[in-house]
Amino acid sequence: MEPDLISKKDLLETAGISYGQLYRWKRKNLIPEEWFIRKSTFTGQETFFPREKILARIDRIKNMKEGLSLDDLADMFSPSPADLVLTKEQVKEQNIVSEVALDLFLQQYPGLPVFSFARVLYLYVLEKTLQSGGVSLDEGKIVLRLLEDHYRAFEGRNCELIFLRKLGISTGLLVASPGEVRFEPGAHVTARVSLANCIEELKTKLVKGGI
Amino acid sequence: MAEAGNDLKIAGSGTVAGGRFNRVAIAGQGDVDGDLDCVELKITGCADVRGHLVGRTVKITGSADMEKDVKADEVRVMGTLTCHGKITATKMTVRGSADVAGGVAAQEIEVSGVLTTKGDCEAESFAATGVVTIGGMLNAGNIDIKPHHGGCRAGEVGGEKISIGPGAPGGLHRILRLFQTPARFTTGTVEGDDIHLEHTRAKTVRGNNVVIGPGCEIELVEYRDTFDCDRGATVKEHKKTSC
Repeated sequence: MEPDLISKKDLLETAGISYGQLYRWKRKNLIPEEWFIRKSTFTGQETFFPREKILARIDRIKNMKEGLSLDDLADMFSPSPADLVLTKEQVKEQNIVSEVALDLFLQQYPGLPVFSFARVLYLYVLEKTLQSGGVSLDEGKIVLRLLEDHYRAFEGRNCELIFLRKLGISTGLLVASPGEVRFEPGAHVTARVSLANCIEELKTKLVKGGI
Repeated sequence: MAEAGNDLKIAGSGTVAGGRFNRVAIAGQGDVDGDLDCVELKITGCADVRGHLVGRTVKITGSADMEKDVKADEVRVMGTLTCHGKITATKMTVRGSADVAGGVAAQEIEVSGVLTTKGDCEAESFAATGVVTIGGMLNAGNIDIKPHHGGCRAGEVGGEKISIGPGAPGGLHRILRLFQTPARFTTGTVEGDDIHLEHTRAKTVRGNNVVIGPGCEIELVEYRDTFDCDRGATVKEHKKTSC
């Protein structure tokens, strides 16, 4: 068995939850369908989960369900953008992104009065790729352009941003996830970001910031 | 769901392109070629809807064929419904027969007729006294199934409180029942917090409190707190687990 999977039984034991809770959270879309991995074992069909992802998710659900309803939580974990609009000042106040990323963003979109959630997300992704060191300021423009042009096509689905460099030439792609991509050995993946994770982190930050 | 809008009535035979309406009534033979968005849809005749359907109440006493997904607050099927997409509703009632290819997700599902789906069925409350055939998973907070003769089946069952019992028809049925075997429920796995099963055939049953009643054939029961087994049941193996 692959080490990064956990069986349903072990999961319930480790996390200290019941079948009922697990199924309820699944119904409420707190746990995405694609994490339920069915495999045949000698006892018949069993369900497995990606260990780290599911344990982290359950931990967060358990910690946050005191303050928020399950529906609010579902919104937070959902890969669809939220309906909200931030002003430039709010974006600054929230400390979501660094000055550098914000400046670069504003250079690309001068005179943008307000930020839709999607725009804040692009900004956040830009920030992450810049922070990771895998993308230079100049290349950040490619990231923004890519997101702006194509992210909408993935509406409601998870996708990954992959940034590549080879012989000094760089490019970025958006890939639907779960999916598989292979690279030839000469190519270097300099940044790889899951958009669903970004949305979740961003929503958490915004909720904590009182928006 | 447009509040403002015209009413649409098809009484003889008619085809519409679709659109937004207030009330739609199809009494004869009506075809809707595109997406339909309405407050109330009543089908007493025979209707084909080729687009997506969004409505507040959808009532089918005739026969309807829906090619795409259906979204509504309330879906009531007293006649026949074939849906090739998925049904999302607050409440779904099936007294006639409904065949939904893409699965059903609702707060409340009540079946006294026939519900068939190849997909999954999700609800907070699922109550059935009719015939239910679910190809995928039945996932509901509260599951209460009393299978009618013919038997019910589901790929898997999961939830908080699961009760599968014999149908309890009175009078003549009770006498007739002497000559027929009680309706069965067949499934692969049942997983929940409190489980009570009768006349059920399953591979695995896992739960906190498990009661296996008469007529059950279960290969493996895993329970956390309590386990009770009727003498008229066959359980090949049972074990207490820490989860």
